[in-house]
Amino acid sequence: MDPPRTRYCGSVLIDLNVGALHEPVTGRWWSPADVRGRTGARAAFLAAQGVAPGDRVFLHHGNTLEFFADLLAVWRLGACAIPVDPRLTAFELETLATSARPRVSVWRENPSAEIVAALNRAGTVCVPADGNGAASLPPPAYTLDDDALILFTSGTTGQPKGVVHTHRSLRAQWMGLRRHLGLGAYRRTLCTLPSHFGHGLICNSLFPWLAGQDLYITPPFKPELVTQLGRMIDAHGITFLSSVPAMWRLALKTSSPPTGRTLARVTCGSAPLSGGLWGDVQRWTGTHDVWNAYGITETASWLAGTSVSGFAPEDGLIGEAWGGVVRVLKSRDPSVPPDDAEACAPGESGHVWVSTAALMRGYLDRDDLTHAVVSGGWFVTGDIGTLDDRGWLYLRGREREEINKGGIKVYPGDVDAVAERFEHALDVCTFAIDDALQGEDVALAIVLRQRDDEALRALHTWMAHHLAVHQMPRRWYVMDEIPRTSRGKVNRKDIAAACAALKPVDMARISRGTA
Amino acid sequence: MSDKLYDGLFATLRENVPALPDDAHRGTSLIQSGILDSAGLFHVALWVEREIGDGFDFTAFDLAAEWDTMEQIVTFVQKHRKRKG
Repeated sequence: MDPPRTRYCGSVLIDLNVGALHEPVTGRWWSPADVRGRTGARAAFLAAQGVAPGDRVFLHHGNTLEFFADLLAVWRLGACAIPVDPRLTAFELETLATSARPRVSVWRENPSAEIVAALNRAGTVCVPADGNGAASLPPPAYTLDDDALILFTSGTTGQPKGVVHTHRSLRAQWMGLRRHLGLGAYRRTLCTLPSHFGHGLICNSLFPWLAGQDLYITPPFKPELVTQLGRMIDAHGITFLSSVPAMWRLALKTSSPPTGRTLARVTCGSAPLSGGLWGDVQRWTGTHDVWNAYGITETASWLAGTSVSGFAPEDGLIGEAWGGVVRVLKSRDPSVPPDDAEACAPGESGHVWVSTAALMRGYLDRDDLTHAVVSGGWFVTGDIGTLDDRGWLYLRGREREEINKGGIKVYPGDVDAVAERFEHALDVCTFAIDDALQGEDVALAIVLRQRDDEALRALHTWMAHHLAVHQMPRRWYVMDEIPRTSRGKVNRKDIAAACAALKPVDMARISRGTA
Repeated sequence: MSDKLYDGLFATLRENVPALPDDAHRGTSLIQSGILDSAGLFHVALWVEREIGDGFDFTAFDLAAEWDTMEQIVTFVQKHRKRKG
């Protein structure tokens, strides 16, 4: 017989000590009492749809008031929330749903018939975000070690990699951040990042909001918001926001700075922040407290940042750990216990390992992947860094195979998996190219059985049908062969170098069928 | 002159705006319609800067309102080229 479930009974940082929620674009807002009422009504509605403890729920309506109430309602019911990128194709959603098996999938706008059919095939029912049940709030039905949140970081086209966080790991993150950073700067927090993104959801939004601070949430990727960023900060007296370097490159170019001097702190993360851009952001925001924040989804996002006194913007500088321990070791081998492994000397580059109570429970149904990165409570980040003699962390590179597109990670293997199934494809290789705004973008090299415009047009159609728009290659190269190493492996950097000497296909012209 | 500008702008959009529809024309709404995302706007700004000259202060304008169509963007370039000239 199973032991009785221990109910979790309220404290700071627990789900209903929330601040107000605002949508500055629409003008809609909910007071904390509104949020409580809405959460109760939605919990009743979702329970009537069959959602029960241990179930999983897809949430497709990120960056809205309704999303946050549904997140709390799902947790109240003892279920696990899976925020999903709304840009994913039906093919990708079916791949994720087949892996995660969500009970329901919540939509604010009606999904297409193709998406409904794809989710139904995976046994998932689509339900609206505006249905309400009785408004009383049910008692919490979860324990700290129940799964709370799954964020998919890759594998939308093949083998999904879902990072599973429990209520315990999330609370450890928020309590650690509160201890290190306090709450004073977060009184009115702006989030312009997507809420299916660990950085945007766990740290930018939930950390302040669940501790009673007001949250202002906007749709992500909207240029008209970035060009009005300074005015929005002034209009709402924003005290804090977090973002990515790409957003700042656009904001510095197109938006007047705020004049109200309300910003107390700004963090920037998810992609490398150069010392030059960093200084420009300090001048634009009018605060010295612009911190480079380092984190990954597996550690519930932020794990270190520049909350150190006397820093000057510098390439690669991160700073001190926030609520965990960071070590730089000579080995990345998880079979060597990190406590016993040889540490790098100050200034010496090595593999960045972290130990934090905010570490994920593991990857969803992928113990093989979990064991490759977790050892004795330590997590190997896949980043290369140094610690200086003050203990400040600097990042010097990464060994993870990913394309960092303005903070959104695109995994070359996910793009390869679609391209190699194209009927005329003989060999493929996805790689990163430099981009002035986003740091990196996606390029594809392909060897084709038939290499005329008709085949290329069909290739574009195939890729667009299966890949979300942010994963689509921006540059395309047709090669006679993909060079491989003596072991038969592809070195993506070598392919990128080889393609740099080639003329890319004018896919924009071909895909539109224009001369 | 303006045809050359349209060609350059259209090429920039084709390369950097995956959501640009096949039937996009000079009057197609780009920003209000959601076709142009923030990355696309950045690349348009770089193109405008190349056409007008470095150091142009975009922050003095409400770009989301003034650059909603290709026609408006090209008019913006022509106007500010004349001022500089």
